[in-house]
Amino acid sequence: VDVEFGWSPAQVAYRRRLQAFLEREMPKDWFDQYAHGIGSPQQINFSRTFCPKLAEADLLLPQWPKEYGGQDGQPWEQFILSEEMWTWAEPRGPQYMNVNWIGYALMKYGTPEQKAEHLGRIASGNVIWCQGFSEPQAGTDLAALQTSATRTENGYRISGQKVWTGYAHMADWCFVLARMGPERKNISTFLVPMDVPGVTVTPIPGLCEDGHMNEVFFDNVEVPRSALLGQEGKGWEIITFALGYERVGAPRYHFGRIALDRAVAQLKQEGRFSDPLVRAAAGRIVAKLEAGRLLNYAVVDLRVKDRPAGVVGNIQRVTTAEAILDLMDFLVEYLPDALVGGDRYLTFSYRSQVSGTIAAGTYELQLDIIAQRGLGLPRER
Amino acid sequence: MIDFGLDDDEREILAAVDGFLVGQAPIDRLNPAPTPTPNHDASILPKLGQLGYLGLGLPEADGGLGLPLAVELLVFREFGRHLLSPAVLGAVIGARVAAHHGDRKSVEAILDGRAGVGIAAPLRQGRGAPRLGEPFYLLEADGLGQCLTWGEYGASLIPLDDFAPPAELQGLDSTLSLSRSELSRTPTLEAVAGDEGEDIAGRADLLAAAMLVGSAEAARDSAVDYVKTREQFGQPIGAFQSVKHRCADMAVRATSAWSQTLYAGLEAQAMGRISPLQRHSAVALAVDAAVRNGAANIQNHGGIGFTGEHHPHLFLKRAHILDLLLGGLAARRRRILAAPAA
Repeated sequence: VDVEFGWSPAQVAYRRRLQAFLEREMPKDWFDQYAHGIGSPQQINFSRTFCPKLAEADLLLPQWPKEYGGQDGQPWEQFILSEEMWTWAEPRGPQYMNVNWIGYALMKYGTPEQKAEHLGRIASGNVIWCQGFSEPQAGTDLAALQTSATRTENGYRISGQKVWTGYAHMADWCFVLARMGPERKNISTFLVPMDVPGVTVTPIPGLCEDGHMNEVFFDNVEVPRSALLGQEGKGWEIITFALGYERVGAPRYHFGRIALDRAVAQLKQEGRFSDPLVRAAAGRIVAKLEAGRLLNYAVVDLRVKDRPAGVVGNIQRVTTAEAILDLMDFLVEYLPDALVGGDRYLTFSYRSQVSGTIAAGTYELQLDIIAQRGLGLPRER
Repeated sequence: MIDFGLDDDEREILAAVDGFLVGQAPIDRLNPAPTPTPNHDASILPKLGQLGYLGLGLPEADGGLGLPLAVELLVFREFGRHLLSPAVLGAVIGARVAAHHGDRKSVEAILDGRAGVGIAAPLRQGRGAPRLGEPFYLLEADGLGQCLTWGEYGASLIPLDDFAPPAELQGLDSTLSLSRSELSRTPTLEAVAGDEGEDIAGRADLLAAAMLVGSAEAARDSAVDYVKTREQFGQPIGAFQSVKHRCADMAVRATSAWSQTLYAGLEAQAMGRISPLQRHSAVALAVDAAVRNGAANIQNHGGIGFTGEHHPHLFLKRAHILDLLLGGLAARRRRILAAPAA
């Protein structure tokens, strides 16, 4: 058995380079000015100047192949990048999605023209995508989606409604799932520009007033044949592939650890970290977060070796989600003033993590997958 | 003897309060787009006063109706179900403090809703009465003349003039106004301490617990209504065990917290004083039920649970704010341990 837990000198150097870059580029008042959540106009606009700088410094796409503007790195670099970004509450805003999964879907399923058009833009760090998946009647049951695509003479006509679409109000493109027939998984994937006639975006007020989600309506939107990604009716395969990347993409364990460290520092400063209950609770959270981190690394390791991850990713999601919930309980119990705006990172953490057990596949769905695919248990009903 | 029954008068009062709240304080009032208005209920509280609902439990000699604590708890549970501003607690308990000081005019002004009472919660809960320089959160206090604060020492009514000019805060619950300040002079009025102080503070705790239970129940009902109608995979999501068990857990938490709160009140009626053990247990269970049910309601609502246009988030935020002004769960559990055995 070959077990190696260390980072290579190159990876350590890469992380240092990132830290130096962030130290230099991030505004000193970042958390006061921009901690409105990654869907806020402030963060989206910031990403439009920040990501080109990352690209210029060759830090935007470390693990992408050189031919698409990357550095031929390993998936490890992507996680180092994500971790360091989360130290700053993700200054890439929505553009993390470009790097984490939209790009990979385009590389695997795109035509040469699609790759040329989209991957170049992503590599320059100035394109906002949104994700047209969920619908009012298709959340956890995504395959129940009703948005339809019908063939026309020159392409397709798309009609329907998407919901919980983060970033749509400022997005350039939408990655749309649409149904092409009544069969449950007869779904295709389309790359739709947000400025074509028939696309309407209506904002949904966020839970914290400054979060930003939207409804997106497609009213007989005409798109050319070249908007189709991959083959007709094969969208489910594309989405399964893409979500495999998406769902281990955000290093919530890292974000959780930073929030915990800040909370503990504040408690120490106020002489309130001597209580054995507080210390034990903090210790338990660290243990779970570290388990989440190692599980995430295990998924990366399997990806590097091109082996199936099974349900390791789902177990990681559950472990990390529970750690974050414990962390939020910790804040509520021992630092309630953090919730009313003592430390902007902690306030932001608390507010932003409400969606942690819902978005990108609910907690319950993760447990179902672990039970069914991991343990071979039968489906409910 | 423990008697859970209500007499006809009490039932009538409860029905009238309920009717008032349904008309004047629907939950959706807290959700106007694009952002809620802080201190929305400032217009509702005077109406409650005019109807006499702010003096239900105050002795008749002090100008109240002299109804038993249990009735007041039932009414506060209704307030909690509608997420009525905690300023209602400020008024009801503030009137008691004013009565202790023999200030009949002030009692009258509070009871009929002319003089609102905000809440002052110390940043760090200590054992002692408010002291010069001590920092406080001021909740729903803008535009009012005084704030109620209470703690282990008893309770105190502090004129707003005794505080330094408050700095407004962006709170977690934007339906409430929140600011921070410190006492810039020795409080004008002496704190109510001793047995009477403990009785008033205990009462404030129990009424807050009843509000929290109401909020936990409303969150339960909101979740249950939703999972009965929301369908995924061809059936209501309430049919899935993970969802239905969460609803059952919500019911268990709300019911046991209410049972404990009501028991604390009934025991106090029978014994003539509020037992610290029952009081602190009630608060701990009520905070836990309100916070956890608030979170579970968001989870049961899935995507719409974390938007601002639906109301699940309101219950969780309010539970956190009440927890904050009750001094936090950890401190409360310590007080349970320190309480003499019943």
